Amino acid sequence: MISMNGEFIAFFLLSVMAIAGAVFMINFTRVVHMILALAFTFLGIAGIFVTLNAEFLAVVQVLIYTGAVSILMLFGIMLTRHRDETRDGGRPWHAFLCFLGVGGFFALLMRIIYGSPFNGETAKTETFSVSGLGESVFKQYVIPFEVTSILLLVALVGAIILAKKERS
Amino acid sequence: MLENAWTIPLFPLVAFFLLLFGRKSWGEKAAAWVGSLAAFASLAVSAGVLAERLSGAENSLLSFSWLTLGETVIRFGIEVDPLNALMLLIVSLISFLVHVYSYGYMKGDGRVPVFYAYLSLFTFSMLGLVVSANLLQLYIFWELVGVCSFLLIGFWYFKPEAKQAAKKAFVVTRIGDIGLFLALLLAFWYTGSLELGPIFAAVEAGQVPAEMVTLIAVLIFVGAIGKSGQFPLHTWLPDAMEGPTPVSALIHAATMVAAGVYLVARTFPLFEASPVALDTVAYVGAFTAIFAASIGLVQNDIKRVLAYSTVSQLGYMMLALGSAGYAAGAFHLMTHAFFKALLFLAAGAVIVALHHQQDIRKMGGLWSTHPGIGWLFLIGCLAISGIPPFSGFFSKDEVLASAWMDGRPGVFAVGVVAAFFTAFYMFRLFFLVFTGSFRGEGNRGSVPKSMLWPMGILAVPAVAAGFVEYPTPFFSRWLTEGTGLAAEAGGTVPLWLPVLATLASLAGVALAWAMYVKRVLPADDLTKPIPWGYRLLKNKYFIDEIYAKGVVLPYRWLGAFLRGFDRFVVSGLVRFSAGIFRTVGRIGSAIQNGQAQTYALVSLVGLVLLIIGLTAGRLFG
Amino acid sequence: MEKYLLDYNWTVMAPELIIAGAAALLSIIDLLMKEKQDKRVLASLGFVAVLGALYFTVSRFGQQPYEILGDTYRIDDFGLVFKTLLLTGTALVLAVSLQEAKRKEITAQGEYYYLLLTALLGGMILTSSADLITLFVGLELLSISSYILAGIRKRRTDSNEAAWKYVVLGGVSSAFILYGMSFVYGLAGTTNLYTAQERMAEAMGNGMESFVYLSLFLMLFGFGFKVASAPFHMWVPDVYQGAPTPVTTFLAVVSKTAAFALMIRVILGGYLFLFNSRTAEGLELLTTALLVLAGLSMVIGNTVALRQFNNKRLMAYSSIAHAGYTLVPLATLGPMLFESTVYYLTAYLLMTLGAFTVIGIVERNAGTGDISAFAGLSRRSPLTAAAMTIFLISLSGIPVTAGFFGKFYILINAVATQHFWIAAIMLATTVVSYFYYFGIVRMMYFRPPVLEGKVKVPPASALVIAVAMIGTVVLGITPQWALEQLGEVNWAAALSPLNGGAPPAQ
Repeated sequence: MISMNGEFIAFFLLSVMAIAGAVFMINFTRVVHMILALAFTFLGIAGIFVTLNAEFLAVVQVLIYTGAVSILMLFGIMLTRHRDETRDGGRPWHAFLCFLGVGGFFALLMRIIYGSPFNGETAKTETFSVSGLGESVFKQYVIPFEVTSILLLVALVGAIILAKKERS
Repeated sequence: MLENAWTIPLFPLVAFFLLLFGRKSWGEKAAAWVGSLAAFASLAVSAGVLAERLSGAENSLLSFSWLTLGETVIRFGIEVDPLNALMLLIVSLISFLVHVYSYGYMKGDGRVPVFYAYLSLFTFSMLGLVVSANLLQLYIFWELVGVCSFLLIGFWYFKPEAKQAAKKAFVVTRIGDIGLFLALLLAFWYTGSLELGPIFAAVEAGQVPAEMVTLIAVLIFVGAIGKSGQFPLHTWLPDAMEGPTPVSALIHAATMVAAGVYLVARTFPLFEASPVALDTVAYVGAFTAIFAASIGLVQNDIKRVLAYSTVSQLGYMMLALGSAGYAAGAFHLMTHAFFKALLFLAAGAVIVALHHQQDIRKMGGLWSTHPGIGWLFLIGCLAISGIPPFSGFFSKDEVLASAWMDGRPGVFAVGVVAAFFTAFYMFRLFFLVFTGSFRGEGNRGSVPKSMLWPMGILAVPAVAAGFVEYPTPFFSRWLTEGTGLAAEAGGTVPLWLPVLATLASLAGVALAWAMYVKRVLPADDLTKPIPWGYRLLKNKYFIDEIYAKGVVLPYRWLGAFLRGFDRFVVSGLVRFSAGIFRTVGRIGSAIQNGQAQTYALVSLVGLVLLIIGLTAGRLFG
Repeated sequence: MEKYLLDYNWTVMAPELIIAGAAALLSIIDLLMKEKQDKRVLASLGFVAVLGALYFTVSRFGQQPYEILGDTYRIDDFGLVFKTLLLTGTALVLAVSLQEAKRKEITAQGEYYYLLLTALLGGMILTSSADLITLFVGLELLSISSYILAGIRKRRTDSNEAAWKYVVLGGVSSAFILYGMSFVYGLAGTTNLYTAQERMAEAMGNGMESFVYLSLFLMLFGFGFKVASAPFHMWVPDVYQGAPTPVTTFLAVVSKTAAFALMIRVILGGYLFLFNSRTAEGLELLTTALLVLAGLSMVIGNTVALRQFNNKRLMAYSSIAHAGYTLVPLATLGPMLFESTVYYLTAYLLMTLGAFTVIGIVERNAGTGDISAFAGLSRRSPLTAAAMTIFLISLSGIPVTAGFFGKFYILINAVATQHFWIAAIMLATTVVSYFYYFGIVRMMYFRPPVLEGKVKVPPASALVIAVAMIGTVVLGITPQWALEQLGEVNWAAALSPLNGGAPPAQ
């Protein structure tokens, strides 16, 4: 049973923040507002990480997503020409179908989660440490880690060649 | 000679490659020589093989390992038993004659080397089909002849009808091929082999459930229906007449369309093991025989009349096979190949003489100017109508006898009526073309020698081929030797049977004579009382229309619906507002018009439906 | 005992290292070259690197499987076979690219070549890992490189549109895969596929079946997207049409093959217990789900293709249909699962590559992507037309071509496992496919040419066409040879961890 302790209240507020941010992001018409809403979602998620004892992740989340990514997006928008407003699709059946699809998917997930027996044990979150994370990244997962570096390089190159103005 | 049988299909294959690569540099004459010589070489070896078979050599099987599926080895091989040897001779003989004939017919076409290349490729495939020792190999050649037929029907691609006909022929026969392919897979799965021998052995030993044998046999027959133009897949064959006439003679009269009959004969032990399959073959054959013959009564295109008669005669062969008349079916296949090829070649000569006029209402009186062609055509008509002592009489008699002896009086009656129809429409054709006065315009040209003598050669077996079975049933005994199949129907055939068949044919001839020569019975008097009957026949029972409405339309709708979905729902209005697209600077907004969202939506809905559909019982049960 | 990094034999990674090194080298050389300089030398370098990698890959065959760092990299025959396919495909695409790049439409030529290599690298990683993290990173490397490649003709609006849609929808599909993988991790507490399999099997017994299925279905979404199977196929026509032809070829051939490798590895590696679970339910569910995807792909791909008049769009729908065919052996778990899948993918690689190469040539010549570009090709370039005919015959599965035997083996799988309905759908839709494939044949042979003059075929493309054509015909005449080679491969090694495979402690 859900008990009304502080953790629950925090979780409740943070989830509302995350979800509301996402919903507003979709519904706002001005790009800058959208990014602000998105930043809220990121913050909410960071908060949820804290309640899960994953402080490192929470800090990284704030640092990278709320900070770097959002700011980068704002820069991107301000430095490029764009039409500030989005038009309304004007296709109600489309929205309805979307609602049906996403709603169905959500219902399915909920049904599965509530239909499965979770046993009482939970992992001991205290034993997780940043040094352990570093060790596994550079030992066990060194190959994917290196490949990730190539991946980032590719993304960078791609962004440049697609965005670069040509001298013609 | 038997050990050299593998060379038979190779000659035309070599010719095909020579012609393909030399098509630019060679003239018509060189091309004709190359093609004809290769066909002649095949003919010579085939004749040797047949001679050796006739002197009673053992069945020969030459093969090498080709591919392995699990435990089974599939071998690529050639087999020569009496039926193969016979088919080899028929195919190579007619192919050779058609090669020679085409030189005159195709003169001045401009793409003669290509034509000969296709003809050679077809001859190769058909010979390969005939000698195949296993079902997979047979299926491969079966598809190859289909492709050749497609190419040759569409040879005059500048005629839109030819293009349509080529496509129709290809697709309609493919429907039959699915049946054959399924049969092949099932046979492989149940018997573990694709070789005919082991399959028959497994069926005989009862390793295959009875209903499976029926299913396999019926599916094989579905393949035969497509290839041999049996009802309801017959519609492609008359349209295939858009191809050049030599092609019609070779492919769509004598050889490829007979491949369906050959297939049923080749896999006959399967059919024998299943009464249901035999019934199916007999009834479909009988129905096709009468159905196509009745359409043939009112057609006005010389080649279409012959095409419907081919469909009808193929029905005869199926009817014989379905009535356990293995030898009778093969016998009729042989005589039909000769006289129908003769008829087509003669029709081609008529068409050339009349400068590619094919409407028989605009012909007439050709006997006076072209008596040679007239005689040859007459021989063909007499043979197909079953007038003794021409070859068709004997084979048709055996077909009817096997139906009667197998205890199928209904089928027998249908056969007799069809014989009456056949005689009537063939002689209607003959009288309209050769007697009376010329109803067309322009002068009547001459026909090259190279077209005449192949017909002369064909006329000989058309007249005399029947005597291989009379007075002693030499042919059927030889054919069934060692196969365990019955050579002839048990018991004696009643004497009235050939008399009845002959009378029916003569009545048909007489009616045609009365209507079209004496004009005592004008055609209009017959059609007037039942105009709908005439229209029904004239429009071929509206089968094409029914297909167009019933099958093709819903299919088109489905296609249109799905495309509309893709195009209008998915791509949205953007596609139409092409102006937005072109305006540089507005690209971004044009792209972001909600289409990608729809794509993702469709995928998501698909996933949700998939999960719910498959796990509904578990989740909500 | 813990093994340290240097205890491993890293030379087994030679093919990947060569490709990664070549990509780095190319990017540096590209920097040093002048902007106007002809960058085709880069293509040659890339080509050599791919051949080198191919050499090391092929020479590994027959040796013991090997793994590094708890299966984050593993080299087994399954991966080697797929890697060979990927490398061959990329080598041929590079050869075709030479002429395409000449058109000045691709402004970033140097980048084009090394992005192809990084995409290839991603694909290779996909085939040679049994760890979810490595697999996902490989997939993303392949995907992100492909997104950029699709949009590399940035002056063309359709290319931009293709890239944009590909990024967005590809992102969605990656998200689904990741979501599915997170459930696997949640159930098993490990990213190692084999360990995950054991632990998920336990979880199955503890009433967590729903989660197991959910993880599988979520991943199916992503896999279906990557192999272009319905109903996750919507992006395919737009992207194939908009991307430059060699890139389309790469997507249709290399990307799809890599995705199949991933799909087979994850399903057989991670969910094998479903096949031998006590109840037949799991097997039933997985088989049905995959067969539904396969059947839908065949029906939608072949039907919608009927109404297409753009070559690449038509080929896109055809590619959807072929994804459906290729899914059948995996879905039915037939007796020749690996052999028939790889045989079909090989055949598909050859015929699709050939067909796309011809389409590229014809399009450039006619200046239109419409099917009418093929009108009268048999007179303007008879050999090209003949080659295209062979590719189309093979695609439609008519003997004597690789495509026929590919379909034949697939059908054997379906019939052997008694899934007759999928065999029936496959045969019926195959007949439907004759309509549109032969539409092109009719264009080539039965239509007078619109344009005059010969069609010029660049030598590199001619070589690719010749290789594809010979491969298609030879595989069609002697399928046994290929099948024997594939039969000797140790497929089972892909299904189990190595050396008793104790995974590293988590």
